[in-house]
Order: sequence, then structure tokens, then C-alpha cells
Amino acid sequence: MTLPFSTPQTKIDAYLADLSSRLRALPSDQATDIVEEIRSHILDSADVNGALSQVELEAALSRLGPPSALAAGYVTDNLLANAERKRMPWTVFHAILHWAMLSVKGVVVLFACCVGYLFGASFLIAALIKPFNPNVGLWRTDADSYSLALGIAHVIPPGHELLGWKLVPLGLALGGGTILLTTHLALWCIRQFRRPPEARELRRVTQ
Amino acid sequence: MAVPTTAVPESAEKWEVQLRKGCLELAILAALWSDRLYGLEIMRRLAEESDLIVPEGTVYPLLNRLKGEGLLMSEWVEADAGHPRKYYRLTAAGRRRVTEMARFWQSFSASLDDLIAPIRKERR
Repeated sequence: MTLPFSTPQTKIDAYLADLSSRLRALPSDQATDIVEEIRSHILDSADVNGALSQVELEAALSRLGPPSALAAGYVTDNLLANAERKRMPWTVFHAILHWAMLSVKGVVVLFACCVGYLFGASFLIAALIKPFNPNVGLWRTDADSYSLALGIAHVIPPGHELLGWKLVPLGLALGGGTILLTTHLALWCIRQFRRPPEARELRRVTQ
Repeated sequence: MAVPTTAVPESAEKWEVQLRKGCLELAILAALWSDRLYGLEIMRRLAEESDLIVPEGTVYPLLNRLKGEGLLMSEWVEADAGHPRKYYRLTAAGRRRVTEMARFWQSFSASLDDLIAPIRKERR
């Protein structure tokens, strides 16, 4: 006799519970729909003359792959699709954060995004603080090095300021530009990842 | 592992995998042209009619994506099997997309056929 924890039904339940817990990033009605679809698939695959077959069940589950990989297919795709649709820096960042948990490519893109957004944000912050704190500016501290002070220092850094009030429009433009560019670059990476090359080619020509 | 008698270079195998993957979307949409089908039926149809054997873990997320893109819609139908099944069918947008894809595929494969005709002649 088989032990209770290895009966086909409990095995299916365990697989689906694992899958379900990994689909939490999706809207709950969508997650339920997916879990029920996979349940129906497993029942159909493992059904031999109206009874669940242990051997067929094992085969069906291994063809589906581990719940983590299956869930990743849904979640990442959903987030990346969302990012492509909304094109906002935070949806893009959220999607890439998830992508980074799945693949090395994602980690690389995430790193590039962090750098881009940090640069962009510091330009923006510098431009916005300038009217209230004149200590913010692009200071030339010595002959060949530049430093962007962000108003943390209460003493005016030695050396002389290069931009003055021009920092406000320049910082806004540069900061906004960097963030926009980073977002577009990330979206480009997302599109590369989501579409197999042949499908992309096909789409381009048929349009 | 046994070495196959006609060894296929790894790069050729990789190319085949990429090609199959790229055609998967067209194959799924085409399989749904005249019938509504559930996931397992779609995969069976692909395997029977086009030798496209695809991992199940790839097909379901893809179906979900095509639905999200508005190319497919789904409905749950009670079955004799005792559990309901999720059937997919093409939407109007899906019908348009697969028509475009099929048209492109035909002209594309015809021109490739012309290109490889000399190779096939030589091998005969």
C-alpha cells in the first residue's frame, strides 16, 4: 500500500498549492484560473480508464516542470507585458526586479537600471534642491575632477561652482532624460527577452 | 548516452529549436482556426499534425499571454470527465493576426524553397 502522503491526489494538491503560492504576484482571479487549468490538465494527463495512475501522474508532473519554473513563465511574462503596456519607470522596475530573480540576464538588466535610475534621480534632486539650498551645485574641487554635491554639506565645498542657477533646467533635463533613456533601454531588453527572434522578425514584416 | 548514427552538429540543433520556438505562436493560433480546444488538445494537435512537440510548461504561459494580448479568449466548460476544462478560441483580432502570419509564412517559405532548390537537387 502507498502511504497517504504519496497518493496521487495529495501529490496533485501539493503541486498546485506550491504553484498557487508562487502566483501571488498575479491578480487572484487570474491565479485561480491558472491553477484550475493546470489541475484539469494534470487530471486529463494522468487519467487511465477513469482512475489516476501513479506512473502517468509522475510523467505528467515532470513534463509540466517544477512549480517554480511554471509559475515563473506566468509571472514574469505578466509583469513584463504590464511594463510594455504602461511604460512607467516603476512598472518597468518592478518587472525587472522579478526577472532578476529568475535569470542572469535579468540581473544584468536590473544592475544597469539601478545605475541609470540613480544617476537620473540625483540630477533631478540636485535641480529641485538648488532653489532652497545654494550649497548644491556642480563643483569643481580641483583642476581635473568634478563632483556633484547634493546639499548634504552645510559648508560650501572648496573650489568653484560651474553651473550656478543653470543647474535647475540642466538637472531637470538631464535627470528626466536619463530616467527616460533607462526606461526605454529596459523596455528594449524586455522585448528582446519576451519574443523569440523569429517571431519578432515575422511581426516586423507583417506589419 | 548512445551516439546517433547521423550526428547533427550542435549549432544545427540549436537552430532547429529556435525555429520551432519562433513558430509556436503561429502553430497555436492556427490550431484554433476552426475549433475551440483546451490546452492538452492543442498540444496533441500540434504533435499529430506538425511534429511540434513542445514542453507543456511553455504552452500554458504562452496561451495565457496570447489571451492577455486579446488574440484568444477562454471559457470553462463542464465535461463528462468530471472536471471542467478551459477551452480557448480565437478572437476577431486573433483571426486577423493568424491570417497575416499565415500569409507571411507562405511567401517566406516559398522563397526559401526556391533558394534551397539547388541543394535538394544535388542531394538526389
